[in-house]
Amino acid sequence: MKGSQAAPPAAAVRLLVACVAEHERDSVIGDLTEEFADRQDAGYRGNRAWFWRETFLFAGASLLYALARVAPASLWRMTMTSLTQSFRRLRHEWRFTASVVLILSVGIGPAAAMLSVVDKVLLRPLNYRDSDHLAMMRIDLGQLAGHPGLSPGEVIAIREANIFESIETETRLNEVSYDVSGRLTSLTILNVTSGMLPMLGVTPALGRNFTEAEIPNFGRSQPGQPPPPPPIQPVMLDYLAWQQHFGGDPSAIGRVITLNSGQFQIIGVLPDDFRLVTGRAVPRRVDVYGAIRLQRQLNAWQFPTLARLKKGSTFEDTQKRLDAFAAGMKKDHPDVYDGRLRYTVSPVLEDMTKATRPALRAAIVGVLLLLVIALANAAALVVARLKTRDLDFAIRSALGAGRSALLTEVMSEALLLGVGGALIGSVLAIACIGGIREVIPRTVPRWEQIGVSWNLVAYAVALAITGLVALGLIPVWRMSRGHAWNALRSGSAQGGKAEGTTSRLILVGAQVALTVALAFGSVQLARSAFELRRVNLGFDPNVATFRVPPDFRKFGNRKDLPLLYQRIRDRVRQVPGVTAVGIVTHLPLSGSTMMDGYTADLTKEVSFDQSANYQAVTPGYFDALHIPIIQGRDITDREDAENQNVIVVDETLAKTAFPGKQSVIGQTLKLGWGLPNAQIVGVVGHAKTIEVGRVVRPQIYAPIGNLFQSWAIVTVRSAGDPMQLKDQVVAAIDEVGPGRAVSNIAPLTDNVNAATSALVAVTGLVAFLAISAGLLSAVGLYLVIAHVVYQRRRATAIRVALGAPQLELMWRHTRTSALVMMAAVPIGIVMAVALAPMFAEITYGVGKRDTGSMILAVAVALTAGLLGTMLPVIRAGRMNIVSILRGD
Amino acid sequence: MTHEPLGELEQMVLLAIVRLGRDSYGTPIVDELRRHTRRTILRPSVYLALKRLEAKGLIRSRMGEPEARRGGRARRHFEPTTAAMKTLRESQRTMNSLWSGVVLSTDKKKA
Repeated sequence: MKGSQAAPPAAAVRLLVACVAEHERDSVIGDLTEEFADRQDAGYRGNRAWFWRETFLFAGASLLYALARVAPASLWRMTMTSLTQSFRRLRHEWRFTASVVLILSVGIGPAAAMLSVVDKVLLRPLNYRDSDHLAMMRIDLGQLAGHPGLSPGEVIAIREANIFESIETETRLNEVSYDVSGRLTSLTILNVTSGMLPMLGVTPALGRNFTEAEIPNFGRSQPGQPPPPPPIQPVMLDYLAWQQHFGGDPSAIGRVITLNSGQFQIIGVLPDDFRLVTGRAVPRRVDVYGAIRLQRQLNAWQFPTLARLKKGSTFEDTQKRLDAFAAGMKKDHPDVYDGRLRYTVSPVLEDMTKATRPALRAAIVGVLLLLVIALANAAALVVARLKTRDLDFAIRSALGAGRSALLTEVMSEALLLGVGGALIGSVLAIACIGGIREVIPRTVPRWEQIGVSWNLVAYAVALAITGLVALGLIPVWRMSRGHAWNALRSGSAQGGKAEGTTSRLILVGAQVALTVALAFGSVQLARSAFELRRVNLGFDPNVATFRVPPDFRKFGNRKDLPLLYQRIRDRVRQVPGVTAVGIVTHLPLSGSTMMDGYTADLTKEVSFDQSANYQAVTPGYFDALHIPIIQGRDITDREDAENQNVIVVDETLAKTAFPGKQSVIGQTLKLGWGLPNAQIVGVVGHAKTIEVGRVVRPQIYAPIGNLFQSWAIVTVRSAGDPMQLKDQVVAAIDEVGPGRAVSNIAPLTDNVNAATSALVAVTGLVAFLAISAGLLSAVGLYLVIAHVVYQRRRATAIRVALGAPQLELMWRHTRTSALVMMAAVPIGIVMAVALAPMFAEITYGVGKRDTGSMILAVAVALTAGLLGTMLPVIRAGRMNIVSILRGD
Repeated sequence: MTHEPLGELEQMVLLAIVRLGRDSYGTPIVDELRRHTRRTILRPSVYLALKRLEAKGLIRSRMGEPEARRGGRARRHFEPTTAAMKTLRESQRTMNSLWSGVVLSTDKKKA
């Protein structure tokens, strides 16, 4: 049996034995062991972590249960009294309290926020029935690897091969116009096979799921017969779409609606929290779900496919069966599969989070490091304070105070400090989550669900309190074993030589080094964000954009479409205030592009060795976006109307395809996308369409009638803010009558902001971490120096009394700090250099090892160190020598 | 017999045991609850509820045979007592009676 090969962690089992009552052990430990074996057999990952988590839950529950049963009322009373006294003491020593609370919150906040993100994105199971057995399918096909779409014929064949319990698929997201008595609204629609929702275990909030029988077959008309009337198709509504467009009215079920002039009947409403995952990054919302029937077509790999494993089979078994299946397919259909063919299967959650996992792990390491440092500093502060109370404890101990009373006091103080740190830390966590949401691209799965996981905040708080209590107990323990008597005997609270100074210095050194590395990263990012604002985009984004999908029943003809767009341009130009109008298929920085090869050598085949971004445009587009025409001219209305084989290229393409040529006007290019060879009539400046920071690919602009797309985007420039004219522009487009709803009305500046906002947010986050690390290292140094100053105070007082100059005394104290800095700063620089490639990937316009940034980073760390050093030294200079020498 | 009040989780655990029949021990009970609820069900809280139900005399348990797959430990099977069935029937009758004629308006969430 596979499950018996790996046993659950022995240490966890021992912990369970220790904390679960004897008569329950067989039941609890046996159940957990059995489920562990089941999970192993089913091919789950992270089973040991799962077992540990369950163990901790049991340990915590047992502890609470035992406490609630055995703690007598007197103990509760004592605890409450102790808490009240501690609260008063902490309020009195508010500077100390504020420092510890602040340090803890700086550690807890980012850690809780980052752990929450990891929990929501990577760990939490998907909201589907038995989601661990749901698989995402991908295909390796020739050069293509890990493609998320299978062909419908393949889905049918896999279904027939009985490899899965069920296998279902979906189409890509489309836009449709919803017609309410002549008023058009744009909705997004996704078609799924009828078994998709039952496979995911989704029960509609209202109505019912699709049935295979009700999905219509679109019959073809017989020769000489009129085409049959299009059948009414079933659709289900997304919950939000039902609320927004149907007022949440239950009677919407059964209603027949018009979408793109087709008739659809609403049969159900999906639950509020339902989202369909796909292998593609589909950040957009789905309004309507339709149903499709699969056809046996093998060469259309565009259907993201999900499957549910058979009961008892693992991902490994299934993969083996799929490999055998692929071999059969290759043999049966050599015409379709002439290269590599492999179907891969992996858990849906793993597939979704593959790209995000490494970055999130790195971030977790960073914030946990910060948490540990914060905890160490806070504990050092608590311990240092307890040491100053040696005498107090010793006297109380001498007067008969038991060890438990002192322990309760330390614990209640730690508890209050921990709770204080947790409260402020939680506020910080909420703020950090806001920042992290901006940093993480919206394409990351479950982005919209990212929020604070309160159970993780609780874990971080529990860790902080436990750490504080544990470290706080050490001096109390030592005192209770006789150290306190030394304090009494010595007549002062000076306990002897500087204990633990070396380990603290190492800790502070690590903090200084971390400050250098993080400060370097944040300076690099900040400079990059500044550089990006100055970058030349190659176009002026101050235009409003309107998506227009024409009704192809009316404008399906290649000749009709340019005429429709020409009429739209002419009409919109008449809107008062409009200065330029152009139409394009793919907006710059929209994340949507058309890429294919091209070649200037007309004897060669077009391949991806030389590729470009293709865009379909109408005359006036370059004028509307202020893209400069460098050579030649724009496409003319006539060339556009007659679909002539002309193109405009950007300067990058002109240089790449025709190196050394002064003018490329009149040259011919062989093109991709099924376009005929075309003559270059103009060269324009390069517009940054993929990334703000760099030229990704050259650009080819073809007349819109040649490069057929099911939508077009009207770009409108005006004398003032173009968005103020949006109602008039929509009315003008509607007047021409493309037959579909105008949608996605937005300024193009939105795209530019979206492209740069992630960098701005990353900068904010890293800067926050750098400032936190700087603050912590300053506090760390302060604590060490203050500790040293305190321990040397008698010697210092004697020197001052004997007339030693103040400056020499200051240097004696500062020397330790200077040594730490000298050792730590180079280590920090090495760390920064090691991290530099990571930052280089997301920065723009700054060198990988920029000296300026490095100097600034070192300066930040030194300033933090200087602050931490000078404050206690200055305080030492103001010591009351007489009272110290008296032994107060 | 006096009816001790049943907490929500206790009632759910009891129902899960009734639904599972002979196959009701820790893990299937937790799974059954997780399948039917939309909230997080922590395993220790279910075991505590089982302990309370047993103390109230609403369930009884018997130990099975030790199994290698369970690390040589036995399963603890639970079954409802007659008192439990009576309590559940009473609870069902009360709830049905209270629900009869109640129509909740649809919860309209704003986007």
